Amino acid sequence: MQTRRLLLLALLVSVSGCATFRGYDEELRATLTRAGTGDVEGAIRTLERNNRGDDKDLLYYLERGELERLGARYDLSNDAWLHATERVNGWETAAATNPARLGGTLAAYTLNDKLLPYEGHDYEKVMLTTRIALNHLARGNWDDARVAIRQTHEREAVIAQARAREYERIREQAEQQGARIGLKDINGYPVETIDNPEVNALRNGYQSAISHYLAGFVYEALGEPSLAAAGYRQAIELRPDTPLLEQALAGLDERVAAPDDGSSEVLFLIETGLAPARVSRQFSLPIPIDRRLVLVSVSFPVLHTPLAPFLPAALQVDGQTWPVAEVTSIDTMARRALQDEMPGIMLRGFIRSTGKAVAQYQAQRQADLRRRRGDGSGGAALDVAAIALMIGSMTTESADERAWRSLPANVLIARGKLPRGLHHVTLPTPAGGRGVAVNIEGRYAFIGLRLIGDHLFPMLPEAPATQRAPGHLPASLPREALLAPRTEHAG
Amino acid sequence: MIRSVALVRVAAVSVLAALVLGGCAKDTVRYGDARGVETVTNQFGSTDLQMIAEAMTRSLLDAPVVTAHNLPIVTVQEVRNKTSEYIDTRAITDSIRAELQKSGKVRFAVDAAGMSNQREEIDRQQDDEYYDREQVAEKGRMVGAQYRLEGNITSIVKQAKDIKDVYYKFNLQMWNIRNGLLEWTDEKEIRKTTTKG
Repeated sequence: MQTRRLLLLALLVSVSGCATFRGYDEELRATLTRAGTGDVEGAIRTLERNNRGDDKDLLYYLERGELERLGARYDLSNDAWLHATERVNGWETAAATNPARLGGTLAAYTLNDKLLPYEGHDYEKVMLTTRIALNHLARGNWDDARVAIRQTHEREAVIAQARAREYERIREQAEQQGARIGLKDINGYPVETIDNPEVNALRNGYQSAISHYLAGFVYEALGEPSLAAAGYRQAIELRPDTPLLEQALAGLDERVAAPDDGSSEVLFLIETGLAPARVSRQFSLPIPIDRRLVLVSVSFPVLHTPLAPFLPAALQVDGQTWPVAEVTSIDTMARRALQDEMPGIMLRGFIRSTGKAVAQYQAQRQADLRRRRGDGSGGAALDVAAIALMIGSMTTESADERAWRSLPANVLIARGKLPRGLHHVTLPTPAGGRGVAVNIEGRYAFIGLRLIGDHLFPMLPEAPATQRAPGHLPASLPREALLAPRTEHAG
Repeated sequence: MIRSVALVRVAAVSVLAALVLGGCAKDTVRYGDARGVETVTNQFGSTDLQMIAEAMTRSLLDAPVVTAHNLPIVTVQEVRNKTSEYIDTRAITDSIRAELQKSGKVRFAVDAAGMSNQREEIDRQQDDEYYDREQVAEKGRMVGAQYRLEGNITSIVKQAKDIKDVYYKFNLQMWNIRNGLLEWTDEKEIRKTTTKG
């Protein structure tokens, strides 16, 4: 009976190993390389080629929305992100009503984490609504931006509750199963990449100063200073010692009370680089078998930054220097997210590896027993089963590399007052300054600039504002103001 | 070896149980009492808003400036949010204003936030020839407020390993616009403590 079970298990594991597990890092590399050269259409085609099925997953919609945004097609971008939102809403409902559902599938515990349905990392869920708000701002639709921002607050609260419960459950489960292992027990794991002062200084892996600062700016523009104050205050708490953030709160009452003097309060949002990749690497983990600790090969994700970080210190507006400050590092958030996820990843890896190692051990032991009883053919079959189990466990063992890769690595801001009308903005890049013309209208204006490598994607407002707050008219821009960026090599 | 096999069995059974139980659950939706006590989290919630609005309305209706039966004309100014929470203080002042208006003892003049809409509507009536000239709202006929309501909400949050304590203090004041005297003020304190377990 046991022999039959072992043979069946060997068949299952080896067949599963034949199935192609998704290597997301490799899959996305071509897409992002095209996007980085400004070939957004080519990037979308590559993404489509890699996602031919009708049943697209959350990750597809996240990437698709970002690529459409790079092409300044905000409606299409939000269409994709609406599909993504539906999927995240499903997670939110499960998190609020039935946290047990978040524990993972049986396949993830037996075969591979990649068989878990992709639900998005927590910072991605928060970034999704923040980026939907950015698209609404680019369309001059401040009230819809406010709705997306409210969803961000609510989502953060759901995540906070869900994670508190989940971390507690994982800790208890790990204790029950004797999996008392920490990051430092994974031989050779680059612990310092996810456990360093910068990563540990974050309050958590999903709240960002930029989401809250943007909330403050939108509430301020809509004439809601009591909510704006909370947004700015949260941003300051999440990113202390950043004068640009502190100035926003300090001058809030004065700005709101000031009469319209014909100028605009302008926020530049500068996003650089690409979010880090999760790359599968093999490590050895001590697993207890037959009262001994045996080193078993297990895969864990390691973070890799695809582009060297570039953080401009200033931008030029009509020849004047505006200081720029980094307010959020999505790269660091991704590292913190992985640090927080590692206990769960390690627990699943531990259970999986223990199961696979015990099965191999049993097959070898049964094969020896059969041979000693004179059953040569049975012993040979079990030897084959043991080999199949070994090969199967090696081929199924690779870490989950899925993550929203087209997100920026760093988010910076610049803010100040400008007279309404046409202005010329120059952003330094590794290949020299890139210039763009912007038309500023209304009391509040928002301009997005995305830099991938040397390529600048201006995210300028595309339509006149449709919403009006009393005495606080947000900026609007005619479509013609969306000028192609030009390269400047100022000395 | 036996211990390892047992471990795997325990793990498999617990994982299966979690998956089966989790998979069987169905989401249900039901209506609840909008004024029922809400204790889902210790963040500012509907019960806090209702408690503050009720306490402030009760106190203001007992204030001499209202009980003198002079139908004071009041405008609502900003209640400053000095917490780190996204508290819509306008929702609180809207509730207070609604209760005071229903009492019939206070009248409200358009506030700063509503002035733009008021001005736009007067201009629209004035500029549109389809309206009866005898009945259009004229400029210069609006009544200014005698009193203004303003206030602030602050919080103190303390958190230890298994306990989180949040203290809110809401302060509201009514100022005489003509002479700058403080006619009425009151506070409402709320303490919420969450303990794990």
